[in-house]
Amino acid sequence: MESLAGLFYGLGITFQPQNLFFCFVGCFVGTLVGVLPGLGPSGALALLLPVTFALPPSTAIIMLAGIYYGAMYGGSTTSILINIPGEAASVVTCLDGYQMARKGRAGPALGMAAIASFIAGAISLFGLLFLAPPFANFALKFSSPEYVSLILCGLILVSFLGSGSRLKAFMMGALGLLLGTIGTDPIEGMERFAFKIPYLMDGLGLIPVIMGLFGISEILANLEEEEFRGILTEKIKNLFPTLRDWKDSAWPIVRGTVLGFFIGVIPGGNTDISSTMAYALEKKVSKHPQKFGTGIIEGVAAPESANNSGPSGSFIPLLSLGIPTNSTMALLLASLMIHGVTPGPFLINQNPDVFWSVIASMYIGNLMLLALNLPLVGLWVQVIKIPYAYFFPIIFLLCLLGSYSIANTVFDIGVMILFGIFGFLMKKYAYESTPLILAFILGPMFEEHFRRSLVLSFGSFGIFFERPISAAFLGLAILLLAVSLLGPLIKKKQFEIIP
Amino acid sequence: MNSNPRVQPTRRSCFTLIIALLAAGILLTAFAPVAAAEYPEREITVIVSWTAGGGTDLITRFLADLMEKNLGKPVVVVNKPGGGGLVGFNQIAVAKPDGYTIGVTTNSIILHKYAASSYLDWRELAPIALHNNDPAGFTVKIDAPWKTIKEALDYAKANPMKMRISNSGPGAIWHVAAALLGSKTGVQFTHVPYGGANPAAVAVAGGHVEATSVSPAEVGTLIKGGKLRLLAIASDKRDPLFNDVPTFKESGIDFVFGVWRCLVAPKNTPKEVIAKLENSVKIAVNDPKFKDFMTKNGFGQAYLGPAESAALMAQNEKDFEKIVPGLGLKKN
Amino acid sequence: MRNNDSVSTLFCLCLGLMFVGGGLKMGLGPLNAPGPGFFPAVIGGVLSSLSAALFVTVSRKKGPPERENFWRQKRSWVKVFPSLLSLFFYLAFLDSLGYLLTTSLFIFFLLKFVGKKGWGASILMAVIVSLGSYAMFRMGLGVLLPKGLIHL
Repeated sequence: MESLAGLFYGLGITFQPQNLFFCFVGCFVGTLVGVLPGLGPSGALALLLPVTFALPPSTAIIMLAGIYYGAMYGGSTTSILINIPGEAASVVTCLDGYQMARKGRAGPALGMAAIASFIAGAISLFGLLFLAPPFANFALKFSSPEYVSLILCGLILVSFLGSGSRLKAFMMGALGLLLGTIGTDPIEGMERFAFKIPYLMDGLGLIPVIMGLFGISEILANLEEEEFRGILTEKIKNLFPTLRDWKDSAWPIVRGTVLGFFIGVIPGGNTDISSTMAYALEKKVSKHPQKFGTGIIEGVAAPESANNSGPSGSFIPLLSLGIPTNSTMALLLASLMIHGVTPGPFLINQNPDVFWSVIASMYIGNLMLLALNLPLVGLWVQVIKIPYAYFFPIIFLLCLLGSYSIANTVFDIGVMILFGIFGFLMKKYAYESTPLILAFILGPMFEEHFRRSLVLSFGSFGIFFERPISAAFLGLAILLLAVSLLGPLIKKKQFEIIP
Repeated sequence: MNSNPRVQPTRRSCFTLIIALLAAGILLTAFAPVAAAEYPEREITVIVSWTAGGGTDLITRFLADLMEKNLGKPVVVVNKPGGGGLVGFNQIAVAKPDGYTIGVTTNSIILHKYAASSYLDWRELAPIALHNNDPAGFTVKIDAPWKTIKEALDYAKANPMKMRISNSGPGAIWHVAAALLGSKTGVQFTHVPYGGANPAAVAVAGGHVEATSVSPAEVGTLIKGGKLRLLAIASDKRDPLFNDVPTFKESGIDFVFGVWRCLVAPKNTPKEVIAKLENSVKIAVNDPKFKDFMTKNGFGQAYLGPAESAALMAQNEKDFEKIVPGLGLKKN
Repeated sequence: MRNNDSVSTLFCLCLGLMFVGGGLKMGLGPLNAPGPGFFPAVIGGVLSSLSAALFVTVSRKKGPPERENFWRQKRSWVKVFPSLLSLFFYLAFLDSLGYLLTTSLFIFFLLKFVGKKGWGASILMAVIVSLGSYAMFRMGLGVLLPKGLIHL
């Protein structure tokens, strides 16, 4: 089969020593960058992009792919160990991953994150190989109304994520959307709620907000304990996933992979949404939804699979149409074009070495990540055992440094501390931060697409219902909303009927 | 804090240690030689006010790479889309004028004054070097019912507001270009804003809008990919890369309009820094690799230094004041 | 939770109304081209409505309002407050004192007065952590850190 022959051709290229070396460098740097809060994959890619100009296109792409995957994985590591997501896509991994770490199961969590990512990457790459043409056209059908409905689904799904009051989750979601409006209006560029402060005109920084809301508040909450018991509530159990873990994770991985892939194909459908939706989907289909959030392996396997199959999905519009689906892909597109490679239907014919080595490098990158990180799990787990009295100042410092290093201003530190206090108060008043942060991330996109949809439709709201894909998502959103609000009511009624 | 008598002596000595360290630090500061700061000392950030993949973005990235080679420090491109470029322009203007944050502006900055709800005065930015010039175009989907510009405009004239034309932001170059075309031909378009030329072009390919007015170079990839068709170019002569596409002039419409792109820095950036940056750009644009890249992708090449760029901007302001307010794009 | 919930919902209600006000001031725009104020106003309205709804639900619940409030608990103040103060200290003095000094003082303070470790250990850790992180971030990753009083 032509595709397989191409794959072997690509593997052949990738296995050249130079390419393998740069793949390793990419993975290593990526993991490091992902682990250190404050530098996301885009940041690292942007910094290292110039280095790639000296390299031949295939090598450059291989290294970039390595960085990207490495950073994704590194971000999950911090989510699990210290409840600070390395970047937006790892936010949901905190929910169960951190709890697993507290129960002494950091090893299986980290291991499953790596392995699920690998499996998802491998499966989704097959999808990329064989499904590219039809999916590419599917990607083109997406315009603003579809995004609105899709994001609306995502926003409603966040009410499923927590274990607390649904109403409060919606409230926090609304608040997150509002906080996202601070800065400049995405379409006209008018200053909003920024009070002429230059820093605020760019909006509240995502990293300081995340670090404050998740990291600082968590430490402050822990500090309330009389004794420094640290985050471990039980003894460290296993270093690697058990057989039981594998059994539990099998279907979540499959579902997460498929979902992540689909969403990755959609231009602008980024991995943040896909991991959230995968988590919510798992919770919905699970036989024990109430256990989500207490530290179960499915809560790690599903989102990790989704955010790894996403990039494979997003390569489809990029390579076949030249449409970048997120900022990282845009950087890759720029890199390709600068190297004289024009993405598009002709890419496979004109530059087969680039295309196939990209595919092959993604496999190798995933594999290398696995090889790099699994032995390190033992090391990572030790991190949790550090006495909390020494541990927490260092985490504080990492957060402070991470915030500062974004723009070399203490303003970011200020925002972080403020949100740390806010997050702490939220915990005390029983509100969850996950809906807030996810809405905060999705808000600007949602608004931009919503407003553009109304321009496209000449002011009619019908556009959301007339277009089939949008209608489908909207229908799903309404269904989810109904279930979300009525579910508890129905259960209550059931209890009342049965004496 | 519990005071343990056994700890007291240690406490005092530790106290002394801290004071000593502080004193040493202060003394060191007083006598530390101040290293002569040679620009650039660290990485330079270039702000591009549109999404990645568009004309401004690609050219700037290529330029940044070449500049990095001759400056010896990383030159990193960052995208800050929104407001038709206004978001990014503001970011450049409020950055520290030390030469470590620069950006790219286009004539959109002057157009905003007459076509958008808010604008940044171009004098808030210090020009470094103008390095590109591109005409507007009229591009439709490959399977659209209009095969010539006349057919498209006739349809649009007969159906006011029905034809949706995408652009890279409200009040920015392609929006104004489309509005200008509309006023010259008596057509009423519906203008749909996007964050950059790339998404604007994709929207046409996906059939969500009927046309776009972005430059031919920015739709080159999709044309090569067989998804779009270029109907006309708003320049004096035909584009060598798109030889079979007529100019608007040839089709009887006196419409010549386009973008220029200029590297800029915040207003009070020291003159020596600007000179150094201009030099770097000059070397970069004369590099055969750059020329090759621009030609291959259909980007127009031009060059103006800081003084000439400023003069051009002043002239643009006078010219635009005459033709743009009449288009009625400004909201308040 | 009654008292707490009443307070928090009122807070959210006010927040929502602020955004509604701000949004209306900016202009909602026509329906075929919504303006900058549209989104904040609408979502602000959503937040306010939800908060009001929750407030009403909570007020209707019967049961004694609890006195025990985390603001009054001593344990909230012993470690949390000093830690917060040290964070603000860092924020305030980072630029003037520079990275090395501020970090050393910060770590030292936390270890000694919150962590209740000994003088020796605290000072040692403070110096090691600040120098080590400086090396890692400044030299390893090229992150620019304020020089302040100690120039390296």
